[in-house]
This record gives sequence, structure tokens and C-alpha cells, in this order.
Amino acid sequence: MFERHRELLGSCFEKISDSGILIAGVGGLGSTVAELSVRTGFKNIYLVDYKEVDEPDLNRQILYTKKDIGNLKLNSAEKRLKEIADVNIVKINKRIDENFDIPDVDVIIDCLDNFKTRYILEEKAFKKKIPFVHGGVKGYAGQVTVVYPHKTKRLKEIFGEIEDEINPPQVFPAVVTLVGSIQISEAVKIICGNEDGSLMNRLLVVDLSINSFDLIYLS
Amino acid sequence: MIKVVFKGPLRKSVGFRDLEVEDGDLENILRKISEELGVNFKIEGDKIYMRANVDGMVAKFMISIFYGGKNVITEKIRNFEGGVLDIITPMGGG
Repeated sequence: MFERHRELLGSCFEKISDSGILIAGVGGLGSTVAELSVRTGFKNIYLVDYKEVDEPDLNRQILYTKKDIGNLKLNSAEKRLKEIADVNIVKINKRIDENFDIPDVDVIIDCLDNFKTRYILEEKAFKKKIPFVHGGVKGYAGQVTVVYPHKTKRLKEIFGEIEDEINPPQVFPAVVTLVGSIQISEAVKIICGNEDGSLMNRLLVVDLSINSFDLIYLS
Repeated sequence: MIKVVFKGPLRKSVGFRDLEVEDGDLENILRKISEELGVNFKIEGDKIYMRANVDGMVAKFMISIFYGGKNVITEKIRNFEGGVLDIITPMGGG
């Protein structure tokens, strides 16, 4: 099923196939990241989530349909992903906290919905020297950056102290799939060693309401 | 002079305006931006908030400010001379 991009990726394709990817959160961003990871050729996919599919999720969580409402996201996601391709899915039905153990993976994709948990996971990724692809969305906008242990700033150094919102923000479905797509693209660059072309030491800020795509060069 | 650039959703909140302000410390720079753009900043410990009028309603944003690509709070940058100040609001949803 990969004939249309295997040649494009060259030797990188085998690296992707052999890699382990952890997707933290299988909600909006995580749905797009998970589906594209399978379609790109990742074979070993670790999904972390503990929630069930809720009706308001369906505007942007593209792995799920009305039939999945009430089901554990991990189970619905696994079913959908295995319908696309033969992949190894490891389901981790846990809330990420100080006791969370990161499995041995090559890259972590941050699809979480709050900075408090992001900072906990990034701390653990740093200790295990695992690259961390951050994404966040709100309204029509989002941001992406790659945190690479000892090569970039830490996530908290980039953003500082953040007060998470109590209520879930309004979010435009298209920006969720856009940011998720950029995140999986960054994961491919990290796996394939294309650091210069990546968002390492760069923060991409997008706003679809005004079609702005801005880079901040971090130092 | 320091060029001040709002990025992402904040661009709309300041009427798509960039501006230049005189060198100085952070408090003075934020005060000058407030005077020019009619927005308000509040520093609470390690957090910075901005209030702006968006579509006739007051909106409150938590913001991160970068000077030369460094977060001015986490890097404890006190004085600013020339260069670019980038201001964003981090988005936390997933």
C-alpha cells in the first residue's frame, strides 16, 4: 500500500517501518497523527489514552464515528488503524502522571490537551533521551515544535509557566488535522535524520483564520 | 529600537499592527505597547497576560514573549536593545 511514497522516502522508509512511535493522547491531534502514522508506514505504534469517545469529539477526532460513542478510544482507534494496514498497536490505558513509564520508542508525539501533562511527559522523554514532537491547538490556530534532548530548549523553557484552561476550548476541525499532519511530518524527519529541515529550534505558529504561518527561530 | 511582532491569533487582536518601541526593560516596553495598541499586560509571577478588544469583546490571553528567540521569562532577560520581540499565545488544546 506504500507504492505512492516509498520511493519518495527512499531508505528512510525502512527506518520508519522499524521505529517505535508513541502517540500521547488519541483525541483530536492524536487521531490525525495515528491515522497518518499507519498510512506513512509506521508499524509499531503505542497509543496512550484513558477516555471514551464522546459525541462532541466527532468534529475533529477523525478516527471515530457515531458507532464509537461510549467506547474506549484506544479500542476504537486500534480497530480503525488495523483496518487500514497490518500494524502492531500497543494500547496504554493510563493517565499520564508522575508514575507513567515511557516504553522504549524512537519518538513521542505530544497530542495532549493541557500543558501540565505535557511538561510531565516531556520531562520523562528528556530523561530517556527521546525526541518529543509538540503540538497544540485552539480556535483557528495552533503551534508545533520539536524538543530534542540536549539539542534544543526544553518545552517549559520555550513556553514558560502556562495556566491551563478549565473549559475545553472551541477548536476549528481543519486546524487540528493541519497541526497533526505537521507533527507526523516532523516525526518522519526526526526518524530519518533530517534535523536541518525540522522544527528543532523553531516554533511554527499557524492561524487559519488569517492564513498566517509564522516561524520563530528559538535560540 | 525594538521591533514588536504579534504572531498567530494575537495579530488579529492588535489590528494586524507591528510596531517599534524604544529600548528598555520589559515593563517599560509592555507599557509602550499598551499605549500604542490599546491593549493591557499583566505580569503575575512567571506568567504574563494580555487583554485586548477582539470583535467588541475583551479577550484575555496568556502570552509568551521571545526576544532573539529566547523566552524572556524563563531566560530572565531584563534589558532589551534592538532586535525583535515576538509575542504569541500558547495554545493548549489537543
